[in-house]
Amino acid sequence: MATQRPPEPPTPPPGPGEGSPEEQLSEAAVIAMHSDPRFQTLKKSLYSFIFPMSLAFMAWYLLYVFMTAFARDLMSTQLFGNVNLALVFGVLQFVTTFGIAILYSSYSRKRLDTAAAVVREALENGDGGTGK
Amino acid sequence: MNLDSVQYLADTAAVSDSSRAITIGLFSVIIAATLYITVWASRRTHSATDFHSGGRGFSAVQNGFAIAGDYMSAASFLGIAGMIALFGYDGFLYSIGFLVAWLVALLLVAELLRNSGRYTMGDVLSYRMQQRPVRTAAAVSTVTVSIFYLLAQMVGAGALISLLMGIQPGETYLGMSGETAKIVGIVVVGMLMTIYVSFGGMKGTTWVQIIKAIMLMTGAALLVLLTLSIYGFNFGSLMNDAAEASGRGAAFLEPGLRYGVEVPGDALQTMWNKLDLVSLGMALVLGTAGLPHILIRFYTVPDSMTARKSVNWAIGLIGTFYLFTLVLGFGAAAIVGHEAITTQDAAGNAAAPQLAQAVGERFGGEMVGAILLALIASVAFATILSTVAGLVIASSSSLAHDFYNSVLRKGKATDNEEVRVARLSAAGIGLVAVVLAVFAQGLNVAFLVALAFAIAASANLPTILLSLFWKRFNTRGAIAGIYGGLISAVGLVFFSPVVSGSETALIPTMDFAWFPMPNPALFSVPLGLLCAVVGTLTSKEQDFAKFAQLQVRALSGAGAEKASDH
Repeated sequence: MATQRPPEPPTPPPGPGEGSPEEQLSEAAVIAMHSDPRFQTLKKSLYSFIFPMSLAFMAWYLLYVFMTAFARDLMSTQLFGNVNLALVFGVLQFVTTFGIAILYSSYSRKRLDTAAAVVREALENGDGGTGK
Repeated sequence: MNLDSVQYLADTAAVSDSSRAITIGLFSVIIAATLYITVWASRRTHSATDFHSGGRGFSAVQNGFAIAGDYMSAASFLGIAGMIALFGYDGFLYSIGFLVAWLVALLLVAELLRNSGRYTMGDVLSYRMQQRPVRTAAAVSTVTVSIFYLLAQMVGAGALISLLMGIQPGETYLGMSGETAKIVGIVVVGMLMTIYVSFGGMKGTTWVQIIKAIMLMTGAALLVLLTLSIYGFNFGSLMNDAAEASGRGAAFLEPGLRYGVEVPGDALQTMWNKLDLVSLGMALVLGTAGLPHILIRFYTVPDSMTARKSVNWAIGLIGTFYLFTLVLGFGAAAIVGHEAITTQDAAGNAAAPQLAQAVGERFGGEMVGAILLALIASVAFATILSTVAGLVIASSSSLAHDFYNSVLRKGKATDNEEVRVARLSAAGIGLVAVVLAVFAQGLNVAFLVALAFAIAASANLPTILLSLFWKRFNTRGAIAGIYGGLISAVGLVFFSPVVSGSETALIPTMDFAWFPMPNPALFSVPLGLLCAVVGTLTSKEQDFAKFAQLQVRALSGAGAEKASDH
């Protein structure tokens, strides 16, 4: 990723502040890390999960909301006993929410946490600025 | 069953004196316990990190319970149970939106925010931007969302406390009429939340929320078990009875009694009603991850992995709880009955306590009913207290950290000064909230919760996501996004039927409503996003180096704030 301007040392207040350990991180090293393959791998692994998954659950949720509003007849179809499609669809939203949370956790453990630790340790041990 | 309903209608019409005495006793225990926690926490609150983020030492389970305690307000406990009891399926819509919303927080916000911010939402928004204008905007939005939400909770608290004490119109208890009890309720809640936050900071607030969540889950689970056991644990037969007792038959179990109502012969109104349902759904699902009092909870844990795990705990707790409310709502419809519920409170807020009383009486006579009623009432009381405390700390942290320190003092204030200002802000916000709530208590302010979600969805979430993921995003874009989203959400609601032009409006005597839907998110979210994009593209500013830093820090956790102690 091209860094258009040279890093500006003054005005560091944003998130990380004075006196905390992160002050030891060199800004140039952090910026250089952005184009390091180790970081790019982490970013790709993260993005390739969170964006498709977010689109998927939003679409699934909006489908539910639109059907609740505009497909009343279909939603009141009785599936078994007095249980209709609307109730099953609603409970399914719970199931997918739990499911995606579990899926994301195991994905993070397998694919993200180690990759993040590699980047973090590289920076904190001072060998972050080398990757080009 | 119908005969039973009539019987219970008679039984639950008045709250007995024994129940009131137990209720007041339990309320006092809760107040004493939470004040004790506050004193304990205040001795352990020294630095700004202690005050704003509780020292970042909470575990995933603790923070998961605290998130659940912060999030499940009286509106979601009593309000959703009541809505399901009165309107059946449509109450469930709220639960679903409130739960699915957590995926936005889990996948897109929680960990990245924890890694790149310090105390407030403004930390992340302003990371790449010019500090002062963006932090001012973040503080304005944080305080607006929190005050609206707070006002709704406190006006509700006044009404609920008088309801939970069971003071009927025209009756007095301990020398208080129902109206006085409402004001006393507001003042007591306002004083307590100010004390929790000013003295206990985030540590005190977090423990109050954890205890509330445990009480709420236990109380609700107990009531669910008792209710289901009446029906031999057959949910289908509970639904049958609920539908029958509601007088609406099968329609009770289908969408459409409350939201997206079909108006015969008025196709236009019908369409607006249905779009309003979609709009509400959007606000619920996109608002949660933009609520400042939820966002700051992610800072109370040592690292982003713990933040993720705590969101998982919260999803489990909140999801389970909303499944409970389904049983409570249907149970109240079936066992208490529509008429008895609306007699006590037209909006159905008393449905869950009434169910507790009715179920208790069925199991062990009047005394057990009184005890169960008092228990559930005190759970509701704890619920109110912990949610308002979370709102107060979110706004006082933002005022002290974003506005006072970064804007007024250009980041040069000391830790002590920032904490002192935060404590004072909490007192100021408490006072403002009490005064506003006392004046607003006769008004219909229930719409303010939905409005707070709509603002969070329109002003906060788009700018947070663009900050984290869009390289080109800049100061003008962030400011335009926050104010654009804020103004469009508030503006559209101002010109909607909830403020004027209908019998149930805030100002029923006037009519300046031209926007047809009570929920603005369908329009205000795209408007907020558009403002952010147009603002960005019309400004030349772009700082890719800062973006690179933010991304590396947010994704890897390098240089993230550490826990301050133990």
